[in-house]
Amino acid sequence: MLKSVAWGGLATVALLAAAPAAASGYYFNKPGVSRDTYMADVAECMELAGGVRPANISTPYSPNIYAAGAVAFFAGIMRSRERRRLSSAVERTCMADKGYARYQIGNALLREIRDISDEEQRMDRLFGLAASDAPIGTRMPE
Amino acid sequence: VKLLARFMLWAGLATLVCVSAWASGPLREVPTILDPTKGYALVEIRNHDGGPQPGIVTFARYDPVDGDVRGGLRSPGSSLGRGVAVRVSAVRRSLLRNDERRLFLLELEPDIWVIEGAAGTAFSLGSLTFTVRAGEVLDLGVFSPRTDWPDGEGPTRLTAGRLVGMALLGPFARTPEPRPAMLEIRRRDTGDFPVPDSLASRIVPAQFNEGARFGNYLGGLVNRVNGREGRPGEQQPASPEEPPSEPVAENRD
Repeated sequence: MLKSVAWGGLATVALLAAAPAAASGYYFNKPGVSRDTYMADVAECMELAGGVRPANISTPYSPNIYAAGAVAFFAGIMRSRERRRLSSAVERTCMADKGYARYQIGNALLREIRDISDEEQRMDRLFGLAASDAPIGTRMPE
Repeated sequence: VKLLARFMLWAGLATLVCVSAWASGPLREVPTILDPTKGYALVEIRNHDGGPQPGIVTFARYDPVDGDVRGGLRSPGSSLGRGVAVRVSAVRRSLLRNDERRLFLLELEPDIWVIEGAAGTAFSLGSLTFTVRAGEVLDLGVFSPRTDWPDGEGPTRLTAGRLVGMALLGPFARTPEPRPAMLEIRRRDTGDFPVPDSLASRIVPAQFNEGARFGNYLGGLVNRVNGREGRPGEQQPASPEEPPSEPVAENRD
């Protein structure tokens, strides 16, 4: 149970932080889902997303240390971006497989949830969205 | 000298054990005498999406009690120890091949095996297991790996504009959304590679069991082995005609 709560807390942070800077965040909704089921589903999907390992990007050899550093820098950016893309795809596929739909929320609601300092209250708010029979926001593709 | 000879003998025996443990995998030709301590599986794998790229399928030993690949995060107690291969990939060393498909004969340890993944996608959300018994030859059938596109999506063409964009923008170029793979599995038919004569008398069709779940150990995407069609409660995306639900806030700060 503690592990589920920990994963759930982590999921909240991940969900709210995953939003691109210029856009809003999203949440997963499955009407009537129980809290324990939701926690277990999120934990399982995050575990699968955590297994993502993007392929190493081979960088050409250069005797110039500045050139090698610059190439490695951009290779690092690419690899990090690929890991985020794959993790997000795994999370979305996994949650869709469990019957959840994805809804986009605006920045005001995102800020409201993010500003809740108490972890338990924040989870309550997020779970309210996740289990709602009338989900708010715009339905997003998987 | 006697000590050295004894050491060499033990080292040789240890090497032999390690080699026999690593020996599982695809065979280039049907052995004249099948190892009675091993099981065998015959599988035909079609090219990915029917294109020029060969299909790749990975099998792993499965722990049905803890519900994970042996030695996985959920089943550390079933670890096979160092040097013992837990998975076998049908990548190289096929019995027969042409431009569209390859026929593999896999030499496997007697155990419960799971179809772990194809083309880098792990079938962690739901896959098939089959039992390999010593001295038995299984026919797994014909596997066709393909991309599991959502409704309304399909492969995108690499246009000249996109190629130039990728060249100019490098890591910042927009890339297509990654989509997982799935497998179409069917029994061997008349148009497929025939079963080798030496195996024809003893080969039996594999019995698959559904519902195997496990961790993402291939490092890529995840899916069900039969793709989104196999999902228990799939929700379709909203159609354009459907009125959008009321936004709760504007999207700009």
